[in-house]
Amino acid sequence: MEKCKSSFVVAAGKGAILELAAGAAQFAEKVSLVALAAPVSAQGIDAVYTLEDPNASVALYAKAIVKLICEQKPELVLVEQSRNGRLLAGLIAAAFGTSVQTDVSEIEYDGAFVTKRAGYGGLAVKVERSAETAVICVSSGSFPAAGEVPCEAPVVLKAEGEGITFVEKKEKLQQRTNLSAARRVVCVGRGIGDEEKLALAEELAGVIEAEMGCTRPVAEEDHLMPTNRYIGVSGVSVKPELYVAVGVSGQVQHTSGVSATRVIAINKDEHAPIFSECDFGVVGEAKDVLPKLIALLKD
Amino acid sequence: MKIVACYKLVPDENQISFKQQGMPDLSACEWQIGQYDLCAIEAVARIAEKQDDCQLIALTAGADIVENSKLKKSVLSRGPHEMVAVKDEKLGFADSYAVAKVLAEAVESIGDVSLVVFGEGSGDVYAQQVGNLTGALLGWNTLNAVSSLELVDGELVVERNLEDCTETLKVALPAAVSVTSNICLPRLASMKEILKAGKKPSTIKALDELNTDGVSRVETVSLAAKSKAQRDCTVVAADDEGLERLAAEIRKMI
Ligand SMILES: Cc1cc2nc3c(=O)[nH]c(=O)nc-3n(C[C@H](O)[C@H](O)[C@H](O)COP(=O)(O)OP(=O)(O)OC[C@H]3O[C@@H](n4cnc5c(N)ncnc54)[C@H](O)[C@@H]3O)c2cc1C
Repeated sequence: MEKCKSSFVVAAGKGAILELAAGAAQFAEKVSLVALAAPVSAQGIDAVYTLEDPNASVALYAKAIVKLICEQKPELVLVEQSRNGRLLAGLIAAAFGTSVQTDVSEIEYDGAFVTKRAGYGGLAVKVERSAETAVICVSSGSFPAAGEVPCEAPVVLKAEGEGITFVEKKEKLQQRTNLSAARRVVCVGRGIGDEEKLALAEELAGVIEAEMGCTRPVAEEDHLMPTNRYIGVSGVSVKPELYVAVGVSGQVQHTSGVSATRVIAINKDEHAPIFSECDFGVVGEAKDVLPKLIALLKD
Repeated sequence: MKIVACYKLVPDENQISFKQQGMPDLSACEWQIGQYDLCAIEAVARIAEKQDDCQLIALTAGADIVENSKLKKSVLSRGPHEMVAVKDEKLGFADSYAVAKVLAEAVESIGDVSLVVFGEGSGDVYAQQVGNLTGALLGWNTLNAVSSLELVDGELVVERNLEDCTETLKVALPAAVSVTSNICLPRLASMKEILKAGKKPSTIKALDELNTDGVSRVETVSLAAKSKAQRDCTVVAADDEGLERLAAEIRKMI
């Protein structure tokens, strides 16, 4: 396969570094890495850069990272799709006078980088073609991981510019989830309403050994579930055998994150869009349907 | 001080149909202000209300829809004192870079702006890049993922909500920040505010009044409907029989 000359990988997480290193090596003769957190390296990486104080904000290093990458003029920059990754991708792309190709799950190279992403909340597929320099934010799982190797003699980047001052950082205590690999998922939407009905949904999940997921507003507005459990175009993608939606309206931004063998819906509104996206649906109140359903399943 | 809140008008995705050639047909769509841009407008409307002598300007770039009077009123009823829109056919489907360049030029032409805010991402493309690119093109301090925003002694104090941590930063002005969708809940405009909105100044600029071409750098090769899974769509009432069938459906899968 035809390759471009040089590329950069910009990532923090070890998983992302290993995947993007493998991806970049497919497309470029030379791969340099900016490791934003712990010093990690991977097979196929030719040079590693780290940050002087990875415990401070990545934002303090943005200028230094942009300058480094601009000087080396790579044709390809693969960036981890995290919030910091998106910020750096934008700043790097602006310096090259181009846009960022984000949320990319597939890349092809034919002299330019042609990528695929979702459009209109998952209703459409958008194919984009890069200008001279491609800056691409890649969804996790898009490449098989390269092998890890010790990170030897990295070049250490220093913070540059005075405009942004770091005050503090608080680690989040979030349980890891198994949602994306779950075989069964019970998903609650805003129709679940409160803790009491949520407990019923959790009981159902216990009975059928399912992982719990939710829609974005349940996590972000109602704060009933942690944000790493919301499913959809901007959250987790799930591919279970069974997906049970309770009080979920079925907007495309949500359903495009669900590719299930069988979709079951419980919703009190017979006109809810979820009923045209499901295999089997029941029109009813969550607080009536769930206890009866649990009793029947326990029988 | 002057603060600019950027927003994008997006089609209701439920009304989009797709043409043969692989581009969407938006002609039958109702348009709305991007859901997450409303959060950004609200966040700075609250700052502006606390500040003496603060001018809040709503700014958008797009095709003809930017002139829609209902949408103009809608944005102006949510706190901004005036609105500026850059109108050009090309901007309807332009990439983030082209739009950012237009917004950066528009901010320069407004002049003397201290802060530009953006929503987390647009409702249709959701690449979450216009804020980052605009800030970079202006050469200002630029941040995304901002989940709390305060103006303290002429400086911003922001909290960023990242995947594994939250961080607090001080940011010198001028700055460009993209805020998260849960920074605050957008207000419901009162009838009084909607009536007042009709009298607030709005300016429509043509692209050639600005120093940029509106041409995309990343080319959209196609934008086509995604194929959907075929589903049975059996829907029943929640009576005893319906619930028995529901339980049977679930048992089949475990
Ligand atoms: C750029 C962008 C990205 C987005 N990304 C995502 C995403 O990744 N994931 C996501 O989920 N959303 C996402 N959204 C939001 C999405 O558009 C919808 O707003 C959201 O999915 C709706 O969540 P919901 O179904 O829980 O709530 P609602 O739409 O409010 O629906 C609640 C449903 O519950 C039903 N109900 C109410 N009470 C009861 C009851 N007692 N018993 C039974 N049913 C009841 C109602 O009939 C209704 O159908 C995104 C939006 C934008 C603009």
